[in-house]
Formats: sequence, C-alpha cells, structure tokens
Amino acid sequence: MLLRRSGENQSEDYNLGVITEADEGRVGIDREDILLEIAGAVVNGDPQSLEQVRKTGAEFLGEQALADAIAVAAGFNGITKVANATGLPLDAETETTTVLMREQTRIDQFADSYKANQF
Amino acid sequence: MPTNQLYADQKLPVRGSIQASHQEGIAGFGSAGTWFDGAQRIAMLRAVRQAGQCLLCQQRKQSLSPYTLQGVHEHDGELPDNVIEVVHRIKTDSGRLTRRWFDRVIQTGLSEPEYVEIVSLVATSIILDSFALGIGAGLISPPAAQAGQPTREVNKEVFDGGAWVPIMDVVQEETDTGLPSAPNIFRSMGLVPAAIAHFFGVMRAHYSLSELDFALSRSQIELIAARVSSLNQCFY
Repeated sequence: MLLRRSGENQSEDYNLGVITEADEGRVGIDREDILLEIAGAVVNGDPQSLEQVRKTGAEFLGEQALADAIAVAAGFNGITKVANATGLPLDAETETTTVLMREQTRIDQFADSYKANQF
Repeated sequence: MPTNQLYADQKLPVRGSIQASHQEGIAGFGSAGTWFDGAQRIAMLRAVRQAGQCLLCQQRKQSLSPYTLQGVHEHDGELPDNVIEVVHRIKTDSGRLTRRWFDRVIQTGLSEPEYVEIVSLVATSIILDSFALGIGAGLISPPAAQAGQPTREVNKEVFDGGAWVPIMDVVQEETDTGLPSAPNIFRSMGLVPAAIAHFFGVMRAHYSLSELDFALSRSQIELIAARVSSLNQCFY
C-alpha cells in the first residue's frame, strides 16, 4: 500500500485500516469520502451507482479530478487482476517493511497462503 | 477511428494520454499475439464482457467458496472451456483465486505462457471497460481481427520468483520510490513480453509512480488505488 509511503513523505499519519475496513473513522485525506465512493462504484460497475458518483464527484472534485479518479480506479481494477491471477508475492523490501501495517489492516488475509486455507 | 475521437462525445474531460492508450489498447486485441491470433483475442474481449451474465459465475460469487460449485460457464462457444474458466474467474472473482485452482487449469492443457497472455488480455479489457463505464461512455467496439499467426516466442529470461508463473529476470536498480526499478507486478507476465507491453501500454496512462499529471494529490491517487486493491482482495 503505497499510501503508507505517501503519508510518510508528507509527515501524515493516515489511518490505513479504514481503507480495508479493519478500522472505522477517517483515513485523513482531503475529499476521501467521494474518492472511496468512486473506487467502490468503479469496481462494482453498477450503472446507477456510477451515475450517482459522477454527479457527486463533479460537484465536490470538479470534472477533471473526477475523470482522473475514475481513471486511477479503472487502472487498479485491472492491475489487481494481474496480481491476483499470478499469485504475485510482495517485492522483497516491501515484505520486510510492511509487516505491522499488513497486520493492522488485515491485508495478510488477501495472501495466497491464507486464501488456500480459506477457499 | 482517429485517436482524438475516442470519448469525444463525453461530458467529462478525458486526458489525451488515456484516449491514445485506449486506442492502442483496443487495437491490440485484433492483432495476433504471442500465443493467440487476433480472432481468439477478440473472442476473449467478448468473453470478459459476457462474464457478468454467466449464471455459474454469479452462483460462485455468492458461495462461501467458489470451489464447491461445479457447472458449465455460459459463453458463445468461440473459446475452449479452460480458457473461458480463466477469463470468467479473473473477471468475476479474482480475489479468491488460489494456487490449487491455477494448477488445475494448467493440468487441462493450457500452457503457462498461454495463461499469462490471457491474464494480460482480461486485465487490459477490464481497465478499458471500467473506465468507459465509469465516465458514462459506451464500451469501445472490438476491432476487426487482423490476419497473422501468433509468434510463439518463448522468453527464457524468467525465474521462479515465488509467483504461480515464472517472472521476468531483470537487473534491479535503486529508486527513490522505495520500490525496485522493476517491481514484481511489472515482471509477473515476463513469460510473454508482448503481454506486458500491451497491458502496461494502457496502465501507464492510468497510474505511474512519478510524473502523473492528474488533478489529484499523490495521497488521493494512492487512496483510490488502495481501496480498489482492497475491494479486489489483492495482497500485492
């Protein structure tokens, strides 16, 4: 989760657990509500949800930022499929420096070893 | 269709880099790849778009484990069943794919390089379609299939990096992002370099670790990325 490094670069302490729904509250990023809604709507692909977030997004972000947010979400909706479908391990340095964060955010539940037992 | 006409009738402003990458990306389906010809690659694009209506996929998605349900995928018969299984599962339930599932797919006769090319095509089509639906546009029409045969070039510069498939073997350099110069995600489709080129030719317009001229802060971009990754149950 590169947001962790982004927060460190800006001396911000983001609540990353909110993103994975391991925690409640706020992440601590400007306009996070609508950005998270956009992410969810793009993954879900439901036309009505998308229409709603386009209206809200245009109002709170502006049209260019809305289009850019959709672009990021669409890109990650694709690239996560590559990672999932290849059983891709973390990069070595990431694996050693994110142990605590992965535990706190419960990202370890997405690991191949966990899924193998779960499913 | 000229590059500058893609998404031209949309209300939302679409950056030229995205228009251009999508134009290249959709055209890439129509050309012969490394293991599949243009007609087969276009059939995969159609299969991705039909996967959401597959009853078996819908039932599996609702199940606690997708592996308890057997059945037949709904599809138009253009592609073999094992290819359809891969296309539909990646599209509809990639977060619950396991090594055991992958091994079974390979046992049906699909080669690892063929599998990698399918992964690239499915993921590329998901970016194109997610964006089009997101901005309220129609899906981009498939191109006409071009004549030509797959190159069947095997990339031997790969190694076992702990993924299900061998990944690209490259010399790593230090970067200021904290990530290696060639992160695993870039190397994951190393068996088929053309698959990397096709996928990242589109992906680079949507995200970059640097030089992303978007009307969002880096933290806002990473927030969206992290949320989408979480929703897709992605460990990487």
